[in-house]
Amino acid sequence: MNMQLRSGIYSQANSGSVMTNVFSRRRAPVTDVMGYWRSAVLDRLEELTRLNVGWDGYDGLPVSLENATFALRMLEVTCREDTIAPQIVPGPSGELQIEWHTEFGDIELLVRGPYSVHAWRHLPSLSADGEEQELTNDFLLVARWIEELSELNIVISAAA
Amino acid sequence: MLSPPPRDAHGDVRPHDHEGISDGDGVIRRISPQLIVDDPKTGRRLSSLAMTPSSGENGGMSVNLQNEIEQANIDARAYVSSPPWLGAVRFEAGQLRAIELIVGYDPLPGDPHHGEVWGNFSKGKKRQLLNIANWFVAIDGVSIDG
Repeated sequence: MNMQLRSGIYSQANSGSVMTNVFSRRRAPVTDVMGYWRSAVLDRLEELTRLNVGWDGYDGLPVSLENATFALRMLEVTCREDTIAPQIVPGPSGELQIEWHTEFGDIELLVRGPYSVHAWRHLPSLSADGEEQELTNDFLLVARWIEELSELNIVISAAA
Repeated sequence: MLSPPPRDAHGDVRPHDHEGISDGDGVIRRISPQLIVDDPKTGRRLSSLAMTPSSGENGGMSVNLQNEIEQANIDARAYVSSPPWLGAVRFEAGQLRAIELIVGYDPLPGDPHHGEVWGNFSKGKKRQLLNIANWFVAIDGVSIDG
């Protein structure tokens, strides 16, 4: 494992800097949120930033460190400690998509770059197209979606 | 053999709907295992990000043109599954045009049968693409479901 790269993603995400303003409405200090999803996410982000050019069979680029850092920061302020680890998929131009898929709903967050996120979710109560929104510097909607999906899974699983 | 595509002042291929690509022609997209997700509703399947164009002014979704490959006497399945861990899905050009996308020719030095699909790749359009795609080189245990 490339500890230097892993450390880079972690320290940049944890440094605050510009992100402090972006996430000023976060619910808890980052250092208090040590969710068990973190290790899986860090491992995956590290893997994606080390992809070879052409990983997709064309001219796909590895996920940029900037996007990986932003994604981690976004997860830190939107996920609960017990949130299940998301899956993360690379795009062709250094972007990435964070995905949760459960029996009761789906969330997909396309991180095109810092402050440029397309959020989409589908629940049984929504139309087939789901619900989508462009996000820049306010991620409370994402936090609410993740919480609702988590609650839905708990409620329906308990009733089954 | 297709006629040369239109290029901009930088020599990059401009988005175009190539008249030499017929509606029935195969349009193939390589699929990396990196684009597979687990979904308890469907099992392992392709992410919607598998149907995403590159960024940039003329950025489209990279594809390979089946007729061009076969006219060069090359096995299309072998061509698009190289490196061997790649899978591939197939559309017909007319299916793409029916959902307001255009299909062009963009030969590259290392990939002379390369094409591009241009248009508005909204979330709904990406899911439509997954719904109309068929496996050309299947990845074991993986569905295309959008």
